[in-house]
Amino acid sequence: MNSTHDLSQPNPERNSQAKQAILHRLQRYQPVKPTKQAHSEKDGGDMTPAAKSPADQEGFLAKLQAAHTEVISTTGANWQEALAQDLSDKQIDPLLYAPGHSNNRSLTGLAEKGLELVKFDIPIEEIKDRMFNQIQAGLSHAVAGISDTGTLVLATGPDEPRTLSLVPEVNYMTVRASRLFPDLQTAMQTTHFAQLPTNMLLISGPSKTADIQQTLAYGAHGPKRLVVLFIQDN
Amino acid sequence: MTTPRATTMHKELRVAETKDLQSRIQEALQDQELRSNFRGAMDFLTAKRASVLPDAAEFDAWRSEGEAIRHRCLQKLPELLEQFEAAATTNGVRVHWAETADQANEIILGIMQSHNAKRMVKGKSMASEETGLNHFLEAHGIEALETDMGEYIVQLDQSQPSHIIMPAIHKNKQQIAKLFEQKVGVDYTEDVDKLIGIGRQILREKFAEADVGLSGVNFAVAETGTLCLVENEGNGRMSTTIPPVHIALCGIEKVVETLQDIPPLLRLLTRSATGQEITTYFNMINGPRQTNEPDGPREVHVVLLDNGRSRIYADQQLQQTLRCIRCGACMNHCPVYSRIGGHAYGSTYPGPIGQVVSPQLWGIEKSGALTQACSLNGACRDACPVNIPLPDLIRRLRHEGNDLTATSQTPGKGSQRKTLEAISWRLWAWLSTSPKLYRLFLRAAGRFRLLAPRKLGAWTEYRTAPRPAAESLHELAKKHLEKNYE
Repeated sequence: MNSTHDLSQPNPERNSQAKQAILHRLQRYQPVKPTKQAHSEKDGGDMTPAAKSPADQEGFLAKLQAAHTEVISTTGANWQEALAQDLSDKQIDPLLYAPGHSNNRSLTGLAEKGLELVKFDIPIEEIKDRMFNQIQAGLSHAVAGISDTGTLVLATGPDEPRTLSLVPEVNYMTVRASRLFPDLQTAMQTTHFAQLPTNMLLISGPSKTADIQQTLAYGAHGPKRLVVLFIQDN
Repeated sequence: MTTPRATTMHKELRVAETKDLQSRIQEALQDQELRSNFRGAMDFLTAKRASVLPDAAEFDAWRSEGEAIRHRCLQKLPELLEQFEAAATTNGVRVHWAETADQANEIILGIMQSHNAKRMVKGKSMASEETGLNHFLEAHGIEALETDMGEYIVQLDQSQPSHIIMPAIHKNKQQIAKLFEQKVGVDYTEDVDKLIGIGRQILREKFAEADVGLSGVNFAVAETGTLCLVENEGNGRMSTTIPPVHIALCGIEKVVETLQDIPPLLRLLTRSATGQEITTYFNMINGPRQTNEPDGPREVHVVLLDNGRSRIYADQQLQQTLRCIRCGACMNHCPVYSRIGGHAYGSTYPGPIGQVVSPQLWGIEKSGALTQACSLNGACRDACPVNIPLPDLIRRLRHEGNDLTATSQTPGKGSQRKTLEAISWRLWAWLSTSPKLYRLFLRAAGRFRLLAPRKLGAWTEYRTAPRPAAESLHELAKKHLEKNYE
C-alpha cells in the first residue's frame, strides 16, 4: 500500500488539478446558437412507426428467432415443466439459479424430474471455478421485452446475479407477454429504469462474433444458446 | 500455449506517420490478398448497413436527431461532466480525470498496483489504443490481454487494429488459421466455429483469473452516472463483471445528458456500425457489487480522458469532430480506405474520422499528411449517422497545415507548407489578378508551348501532361467576335 494515499482512490490533489484544467479549457468555448434548422430534436423520434404501435408479440418472437434465440411458448403454470423438458431433452445439467428470485421460490417441476439444481446465493468467488467449468446452464428472468428489436431487459441485483446470463453455455430466460413494450423508449418509462440496478442489460440473442472474415459464429464468450421461455399470462 | 505480448509497434507507428505515408499506401495497393480482404469486408458491412436503414427521408430525420442530441450534449459538456462525476460517485464509482494519455496510463497503473494486480483482461477500447495502454502496462510487468476476438487476433499477431469496429478485417480465415497454428499451437483449421471455440476456451480461463477488467465506454449518462457498452461477443460483459476491479476508460466527449438520449443514438450506432438493429448486449453499468449482491466487480473506476479533446472543443467548427459515436461507417464507405485498408494510415484511428481526429490529437506535423489521402468525394459525410461534415473538416485541416496565420489551436499548423508550392501559388495569384500580365503570359505560353514540361511528378504518372493551346480561349473568342460581328 502506498504510504501517502490509497492508489485505488483518485489522488485528490492531482485529480482536482486535472479536472479544473480540463474544465477550464472546455469553458473557453463560447456556445453559439445553432444556425442550422437541422438541430430540432423532434425530427426523428416521433416518426418511428414502432413508437406509436403497440407491442407486437409475433414480431417480438420473430426477431428473437432471427437472432438465433430459441423460443418456447408456455404459460405461468407450465413454464417449469417446459424448462425441465428442454433440460432433459438436451441433457443439460446442472442448472444454476438464484433461490431468492420470486419466480424461483418453488422449482418443484424441475426437482421432480430429478434434475440437478445449483443455488447461486454465495459470492461468485466461492463458485467461480464450478461456474466456468461445470455448470451448463443458468436461469434468469427478464423484467421486460422489447418487440421492435427482439430484446430482453434484465435488471440484475441480489436475486438476479449478473453472471447467470453470461457464464454458463446455455441461458434460459423467462419473459412475460404482459411485460412487452414496443420499443426501448417506451420500456425506459418503467420503474426499472427510474431506479437503475447496478447492472441493467439489454440482451438480444446468444453471444456471437463475426470477427473472422465476417463469418457469424455463436458462443464467442457468453452463452452459446439463449432459450426464451415466453410466458403467456393466463 | 503462449501468452500474446502487447505490441510495441504502436509508438513506432506514430513516429512513422508522416515519414512514409506514400510508401505504405503503395505497399497496401500492391498487396492483392489485403485488398481482397478489405473489399470483402467493406461490401459486407455496407450491404448489411443498407439492409437495416429505413428510407432516405426517415434516415435523414433519425440522424438529424442524433446530430442534435450530440450537439446539445457538447454545448453543455463542462456541466454534464461534473454532473456525471457527481452521479457516478453517488453510485459508488470512482471518477478519475486525466489530461493526457500518460496521465490516464499512470492512473490505471496506480489502481492496478494498489491491488497488486498483474493480469488485466480488456474489452474493446479504442481510447486505450490511443493511449498505448498495453505497451505501457507491459513495460511495468502487467499482462494486458485483449479479449474481443478481433483484438485478440491482432494482439496475437503483434499488430494493430485496422478498423475501429472490426479490428482484424485485414486478415482472412486462412491467415488467422495460420496465426493460431503458430502462436497458439493448435492444429491448422479454417473452420471459423473451431477457431472461435479455441479463442473462447483460452479467454475464459483468462477472465476467470484476471485481477482487473478494462473497458471503453460508448455512452456515459450524466443524469444517472451510467456507463453504456455496446457489444455482441460478451467479452465486454466478462471484463466488466468477472474481475474484482473494473476500470472504464472514457473520452470526455462521450457524455450524454439523459437516459432518453440513448435510444435514438443506439439505433444509429448499431445500424451504422455492423448493420444490426441492436447488438446482442447493451450493458448499462451503474456501480460496483452491493453488499447483498453475489457478483459483479467490487470496485468500478472511470478514467475521463481529455488528451487533446478540450482543445478540439474550443473551436466551433472542429468541435463537430467530437460528435462522433465511433461507428466506422465513414471508413466502410470511403473509396480510399476500402482500397488501402486501415494500417496504411499508420494511426490509431484510420479512415475519414481518423484523418480528422489524428492531426488534431497528435499534431499536423506528425499526422497532417493523412488529410491528403482523400478525394473529397463526400461518401463519408453521406454515411455519417451524426452528420459530421468530414470533408469540410479534412479541408480545414489541410488549410491549417499550410496556413501560418491560422487562428486555431491545432498543434503543428503551417507545418505542411512547402516553399516551392507557396511561391507557385503566390505567382499564380499575381498573374491572375492582373489582366495585362495574364494575357501576356497566355500568349507566351501558346507560343512556347512545345517547351512545356512533359513530366509533372506524380500527376503525369497516370496522366498526360497538359499542354497550352496554340491560341488561348481569349484569343479565339476575340477572333470569333471580329469575324462574325464586325
